Formats: sequence, structure tokens, C-alpha cells
Amino acid sequence: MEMDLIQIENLKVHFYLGKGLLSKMFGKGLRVVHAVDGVTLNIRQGHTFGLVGESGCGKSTLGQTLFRLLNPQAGSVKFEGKDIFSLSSKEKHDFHQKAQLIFQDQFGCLNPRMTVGQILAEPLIAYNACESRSEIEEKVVELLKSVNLPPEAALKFPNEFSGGQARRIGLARAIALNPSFIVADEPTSGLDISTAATILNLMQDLQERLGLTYLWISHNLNQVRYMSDDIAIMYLGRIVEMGKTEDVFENLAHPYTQALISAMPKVGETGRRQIILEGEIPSPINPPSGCRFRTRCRHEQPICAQTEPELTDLGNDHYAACHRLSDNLPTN
Amino acid sequence: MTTAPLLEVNSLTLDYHLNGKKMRALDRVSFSLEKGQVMGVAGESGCGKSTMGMSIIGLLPRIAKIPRGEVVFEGEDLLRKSNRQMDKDIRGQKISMIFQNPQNALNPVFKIGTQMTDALKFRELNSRSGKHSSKSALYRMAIDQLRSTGISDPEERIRNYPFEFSGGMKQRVMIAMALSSRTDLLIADEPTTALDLTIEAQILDLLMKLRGKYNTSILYISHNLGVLSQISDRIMIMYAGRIFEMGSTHVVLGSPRHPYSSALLESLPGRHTKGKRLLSIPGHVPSLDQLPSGCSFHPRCPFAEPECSIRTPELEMVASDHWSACLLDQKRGRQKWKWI
Repeated sequence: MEMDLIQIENLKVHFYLGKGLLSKMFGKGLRVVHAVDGVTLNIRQGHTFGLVGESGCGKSTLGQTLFRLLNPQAGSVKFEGKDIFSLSSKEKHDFHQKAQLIFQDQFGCLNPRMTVGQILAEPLIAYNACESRSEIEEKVVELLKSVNLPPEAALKFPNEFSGGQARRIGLARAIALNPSFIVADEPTSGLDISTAATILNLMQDLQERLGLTYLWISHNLNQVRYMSDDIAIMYLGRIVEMGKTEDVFENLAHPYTQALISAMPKVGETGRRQIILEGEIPSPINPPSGCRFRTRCRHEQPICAQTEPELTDLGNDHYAACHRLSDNLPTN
Repeated sequence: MTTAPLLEVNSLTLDYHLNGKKMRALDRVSFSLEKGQVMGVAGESGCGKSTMGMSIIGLLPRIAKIPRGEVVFEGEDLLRKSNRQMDKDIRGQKISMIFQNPQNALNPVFKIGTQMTDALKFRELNSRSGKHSSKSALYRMAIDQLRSTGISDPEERIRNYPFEFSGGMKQRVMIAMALSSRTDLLIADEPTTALDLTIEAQILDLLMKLRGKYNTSILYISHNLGVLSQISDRIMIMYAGRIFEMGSTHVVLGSPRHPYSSALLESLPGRHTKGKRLLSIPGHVPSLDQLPSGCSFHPRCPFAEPECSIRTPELEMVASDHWSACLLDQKRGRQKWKWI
């Protein structure tokens, strides 16, 4: 049986605004940003889980929480069966070896005053992964080779590299300690078409070779469809649809997913009927009552404003949260 | 006899002079754009697509020199016009431009209404012998413009500052300011790159509606082939300052003649490529001060022959309204480039 590497249950991450003195004196009082609001999902070992959504839907917050960079208000995240927020300090140390994060800003995450060799050696030293200096050097060269960079790259500084190369350095650092899980937050944003293809190929090779599990966060649906085995679509802090990637793309159940996929620009499909959503994403400080998507939905019913729809099982591990599916409301 | 095109660019060549080095950013770029047509400009970063847009509207930095070429707009060469003339008749009047980042294009310390009415006033001052409408009339026009771009409650929103608008709304304001019944040509430089998918769809829909209303021609610069495939009538693929392929969108993207265009299409992830490896073109885009001899793509092209490194291919017509700049294609005729 396939094992779930990560189990997330009812995870809630909120941010509090207006805590400062001035806000208390003059402001609108405490406001809560519901960045992630009750997310439950499992990530299968050795597979790629795609997380899709527009800006402000909470996908990056979720990724950072899985990496213990943020503390949740409620819910649990289990990594290999253990809750990552109640680890002993020894276990925390181990956890950060097994889980790695690739950041969206490829230059921002590389220290401009360190050479690439120093950057790659840092995790090896911190975790005593090598016995001697020469062993570290060997390992750095090996890491560079695994992301198709020449050994001379170790002596250069990050600013001497192009965007795609900097991404590959970030990737080399992420795999330095043989992790089992990598959170990739928009790993190809800002890259040219052919450079992005290089990164995608490389990450697939590494997954195959090292048995990695990826959480792939992106707003590029074409790419997520290409890369991931399972997919979840988020809207304002909640999952609206989830399932095996091809199932979801073949049988779009949620009106938001339908609109999102119809808005996805594709080569060679002209004159296609698009669903153009009205309005913008509401603020996560004050999400709409009931179903969060109802303010932009074509099928809004009175019930949508009253109760929040739960994820309904549509069979074959395909879930969607919409009243039309659970309460047999008219579907069109 | 057909009417002359709205815009005709003839072997436009542009050099950036920097630290004594000469970098050729555009090399003999020629194309024409008809009234009401959408021309897509595609290419990877650094291929000169933004430089081309800027040189049409005349907003180049001082280090840019144009040794030859002409930009004929409604029968007049824009390159011969003075800055003053460009301001008076062309920029913001007949040719407008919208940019990738609407945040940077709006002044943060002035209200939306002030910025919009300033633009309207400027336009009127230049067109109607130094007179302009009253302030309230200008505000009414600005409110109408905002409404036509789908901003709800424009009477209220016009009193807001840019930071109170979302990215999509700011881009709508830019489009509202750029387009009027007098605009003949809109140069759009990646206007939806910074926006979310559903907002991008809204903006593209709006642009297409306004084009239908005003019969505006659009030069749409983007690296997203999907977007270009959706909105443009014709498309050009640029590489290292040259046009490699040009023609009607469905022909160029459906059956590309140039190996570079076909490589770009092969490297897109999508449904049909699932499970297969994506193509990544070997090597890098060359830096502009070290352009390879001959065809600038030959070091990365697996099909290249000795001749490719010597002779520079010209953009030649290979089928009706389909142009390609590849020696091999011109010599042997249509063939399928097997990249993988």
C-alpha cells in the first residue's frame, strides 16, 4: 500500500493585524487574516502534489507551515506519522534535514556575499554530513553536477548566474542533505519558456533518482497538470476541489475550477468559450459568509450564503466543495 | 489596391552604446500592422521585443542609436519627428502604451482622478488649439472611461489613490487612460504578466472588446504563447534582435517553419506532453555584445550546417503571409524539425 508522507488535518493559519499600540488607539481593532482556514489533505510518498490557486489564496502560507516556518492556530501536520509541531529539538533537527523548501525568489534566497561553494557547504557543515574538508568539496562538486552546473561554479558569487542557474543552485542546496520531501514554491516563476523546461526536467530526474516527494505550489495550471499526480485547488484559504490530476482536469466539478481552467491560455485553441469571472478575490480578512466563492459564482443559490459547503466525495478520491454537488441542486 | 497599413516598420536597426561597446538590440526588423489588427510579439527575455515597442513610441534611453530603418505611421516616419512633435501628435494621442507593472506607471501621491484628468487635459491642449474643457467636464469624461473598463462605482473610485486599487484595477485604469476613440495603435508590453489567471482573462476580454469598439490596432508583447495564440491575428517570434518567423498566428503556432519556434512550442508543458520529457534548448540566449556570426541561433541549433555560421539568413516569405529566417528552410523547403 502507498504511504502518505504528509497528513494535514483541519489546518488553520491566521495572521493578526492591528496588534500595535497605534492601531489599538485609533484603528479598527483586531482583524484576522484567514490565510489557511481548515485544510485537510494527504501527500503520497514519492509523488508530486500540485497546489494551485490565485494570489492570496493561502497556498504559499500552507507551504511555509509544512516547513514549520509558521505556527498554525489549529489542526495538525503529520510528517511520517509524527506531528511536526510537537517535536523534541532533536526531532526538529532531523525534520529539517528531511524537508526542504525551494523559494520563489531565486536570488533572494542566496546570500550575495557567499560563493556558491560556501552556500552549498553550509548545510553539510551544519549537519556534520561530511568528515573532512576534502569530502565537503567533493560533495559540493557532486551537487553541482547533479544540477548540470560545472565545478567552477563553486567559486563564483550568485550574481554571476542567470535566473535559471540560480534556481538550480537553490535546488542543489535543497537536495544536499538527501531530503525526502521538497516544498517547491513557484519554482519556475520569472523564467523563460525553455529555461523553465530545463528546471522541470531536472526536478523530474531528481525525483526519480532520489525518490523525492514534492509539494508543487504554482498558479501555472499547464505546468501543474504536467508535473503532478494529485492536485488541490485553493480559494481564499480553503480547498475547493481535490483529486488525481487527470480526474480533476477531465471532470471539473467546482465552478471556480471550471472558470480557472477555461481562463488558462493554451496554444492553438482560438475562439474557445471562456468563463470570465466577475469581480476580484474578496479579502481574506473578511471572507464572504457561507461558500467563499459565491460572490463570483454563476450558480449562486440562497443556501450558498448560509452554510459553508463541505468537501464531497465524487468517487475515485475526487472531492469538491460545492452545494450543487452535495445537495443535488440543479447543475447548470 | 489595398490601403496602406497603419504602421510599417522597415529594417529598423538599433544599437545600445555602453562603455564603448556597441550592442545590436534590433537588427533589420521589418513588419507591418493593419488597422484593427492584433500583432503578437513573442520571444525570450532579452530578445528585443520591449526595445522594439519603445522605439516605435520613441521612448528610448540616450544610449540607444538608430543607424538605419524607418517607422512609418500613417504615412509619416516617426523617427524623423522631434520629441516635441511626438508629444503633441503621437504619444498618448494616436499611439499609447501600457506596461507590465501598473503600480510603477501610476504616481502614488496623486488621486486616480487627478492623473486621469491630467492626461485628458494634455490630450485636449495638444489637439484643440490650446483650449481644454472645464474641470467638471474632464472628471465626467474620466468617470466614463473608468466605467467603460468595467470598474464599478467609478464616481467613488475616482477619488481613490492608486494603493487603494488592486493590480487588475490599476491595469484597467492604465487601459482607460491609454485608449480613446483617437488611439490608433496600442503597444501592450506584457500587460497581464503580473496578474492572476482569472484577472488576466478579464483584462484580455476587456482589451478585445475595446479593440472592437474603437478599431484599435494592438502590438501585444508577451512571452506567453498561450495568451498570444488566444488574442492575436498575426504573430512574430523574435530572437537576439531579429524576427525569426512571422505570419498568421494559427499557421506559425500550428506548423512552425523555423527550428527556434518549433523548439519554443516543444518546451511548453501541457496535456499532450505529460509523461514525456520537455525540450530544453541547449545553451543560452547569446549576450548582445557577443552575437554569433551568421544565424545567431546556430550554436544552439542541432540542425545547423556549416553555412549557418557564415551567412545570415534574411526573413523570406516561405508561404503566403508566412515568413521565416532560416537558411535550411529556405534551401530545402518545408520540413519537420525533430527536436526530441
